[in-house]
Amino acid sequence: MMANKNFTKSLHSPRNLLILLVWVVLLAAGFWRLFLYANTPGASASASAQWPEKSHIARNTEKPILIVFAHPRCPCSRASVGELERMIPAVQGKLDIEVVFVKPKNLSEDWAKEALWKKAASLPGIHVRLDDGGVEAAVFDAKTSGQTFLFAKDGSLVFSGGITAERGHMGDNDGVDSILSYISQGKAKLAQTPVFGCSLQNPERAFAQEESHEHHH
Amino acid sequence: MSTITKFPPQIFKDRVEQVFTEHYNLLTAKTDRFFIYLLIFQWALGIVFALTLSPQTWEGGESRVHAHVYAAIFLGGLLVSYPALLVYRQPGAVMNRQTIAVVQMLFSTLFIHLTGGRIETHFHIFGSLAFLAFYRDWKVLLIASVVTTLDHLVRGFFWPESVYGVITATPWRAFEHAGWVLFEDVFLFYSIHLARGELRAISESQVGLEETIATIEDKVIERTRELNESQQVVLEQQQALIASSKMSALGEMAGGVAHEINTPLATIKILSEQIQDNVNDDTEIDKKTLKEVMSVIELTTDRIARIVKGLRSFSRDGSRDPYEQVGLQSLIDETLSFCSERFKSDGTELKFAHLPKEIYLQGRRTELSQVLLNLLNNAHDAIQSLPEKWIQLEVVDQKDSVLIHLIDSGNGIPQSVQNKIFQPFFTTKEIGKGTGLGLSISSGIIHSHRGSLYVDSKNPHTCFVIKLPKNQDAQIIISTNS
Repeated sequence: MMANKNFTKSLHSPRNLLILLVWVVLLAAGFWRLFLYANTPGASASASAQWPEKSHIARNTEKPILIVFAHPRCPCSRASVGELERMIPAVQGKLDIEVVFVKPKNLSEDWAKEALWKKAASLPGIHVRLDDGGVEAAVFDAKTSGQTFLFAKDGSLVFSGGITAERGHMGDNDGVDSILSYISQGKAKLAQTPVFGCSLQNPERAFAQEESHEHHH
Repeated sequence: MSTITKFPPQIFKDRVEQVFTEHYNLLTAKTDRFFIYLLIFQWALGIVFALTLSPQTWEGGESRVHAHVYAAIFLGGLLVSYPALLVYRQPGAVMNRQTIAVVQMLFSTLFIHLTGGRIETHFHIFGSLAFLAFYRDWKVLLIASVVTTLDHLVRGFFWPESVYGVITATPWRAFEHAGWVLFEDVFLFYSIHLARGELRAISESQVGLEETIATIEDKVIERTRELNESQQVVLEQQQALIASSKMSALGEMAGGVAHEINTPLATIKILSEQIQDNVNDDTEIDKKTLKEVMSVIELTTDRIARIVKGLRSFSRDGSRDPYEQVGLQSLIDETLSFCSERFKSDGTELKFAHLPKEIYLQGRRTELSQVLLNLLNNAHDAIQSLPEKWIQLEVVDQKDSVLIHLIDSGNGIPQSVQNKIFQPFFTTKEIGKGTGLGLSISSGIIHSHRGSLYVDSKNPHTCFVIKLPKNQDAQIIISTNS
């Protein structure tokens, strides 16, 4: 690499090195921040070990049920729905899948039934449901979009967690692996994984169950 | 005499290196600029991704601008900034492409984040590697491959355990990706190797061409030198010829002058013999007769003296003389005195009407006299074999110039020859009889006087015309010659 012979402007002057250093630091900080964001899970559910009785969701006792809570507008949950899609061939017929979209009371149904809803609804073997006001979410203690529960035939909780490896990232992850391993071998690889997604709750840490919450964006 | 110029092997090698570097630097500078445009485009693309795919993040019913949007704007801008600065300052430098290699792969990382790890976004990695190969620098490719592999590995291995103490993703996929990167790298490394080889071959060709040009230039210099040398020889020969022509003209003239002097000498001899006879005879010498005889002897001696003086001044090189006031009548008289006797002796009639009054002009006396004599001699030689032999001199006084017509009894000069007679070395005389330089020299002298020498083709006889301006605008030195 003899090409550098003709460049006499020194790139090693203190000033230039300082600029380089500052740049590298800023860049590292920026990407670190990005990584941090992508790998910071949301609040996980402290779920009950059994199917909650308070739930209005009908459960087929012949099959295990996978229930996924999602924020209708959460971009990260696109990845979760994508993972569901990937799972379908392996679990078709062996698993009921329910996707519950949590809608704040003060927002319209149209707001909720956007791209994500339509995508989930289009998937075979998946049932979509609208949870107005987060009632069901409260029952299951699902705080973060993408929170997934796998209940066995008998209603016992097998798996609780997220089905993506990072925030908004598709790809191999332990959540999907656990679900698939349960279906195929009867044992979930892991009982819990972190959930990456938008908060299903308002900043006040409450579900927007009342119309009096007037927050519009 | 000389063989092909060849650069010594080390010089050749160094020059190839230099040419290669020049070409390569141009290439890297161009590629640098291309990449800056690409980076800017990718920056914009990132922002578009963020705004389309994840513009907002939600907490229940509340939304904020998504972190991805900030990342796209600021991180993207940051990525572009430093390379742009480097390329602006010093396009083509090594540091530029190494930095760009890192930045380009970080853009892949950014895009993968912004698009949620879609598999298609990973194509950007492979496309980027191919673009980076434009630099034809294997180190750039290496850096890029390392960065992209590290990115996957870092995420796979080094991200600390999640809240639950468990690594959330398996590393094996990272190895598979690394494998595909390696696969592409093998081809790209090879193509870089080939491209550099081509560039080197081009450089060698170019230096070979330079060698050839140097050879040609050397030959040209040599030939020019040879040409100059032979030109020099020709010039010297010409000068020798001119000199010898002058000598021969001088010789001719000397012969003429000798004749001119002989006649008056004979007169003096006859008259003085007559006196001597009378003295010896004790004859009574009439005082009146004696006076007459002495006067004739005196005049004749003066005449000889004038001829000799004229000869001395005539034989000089007069080209460096200052201009002087020359009286035309006296000039013609003096010149005629060199040849009038010779002409008379072989029957050539000289016709010259005395000027009513003297006409003065500024000129170099000696040179003008030479010209006149040259024309007179030419005319004399030309009419030798003719039945009618005469030479006529006519002077026409124009206001600012003067014309001297020299006409001989010949029938004129053929049209075909008229243009050539003033050329050097042109002669119609036999070999040895004339050098052909006379008219060209005469013409040169007249031209230096800002006049003209030409043939009057309208005249039935051979007529040469000298036209001279009276005024040379020169400082006049009054001649001490009469």
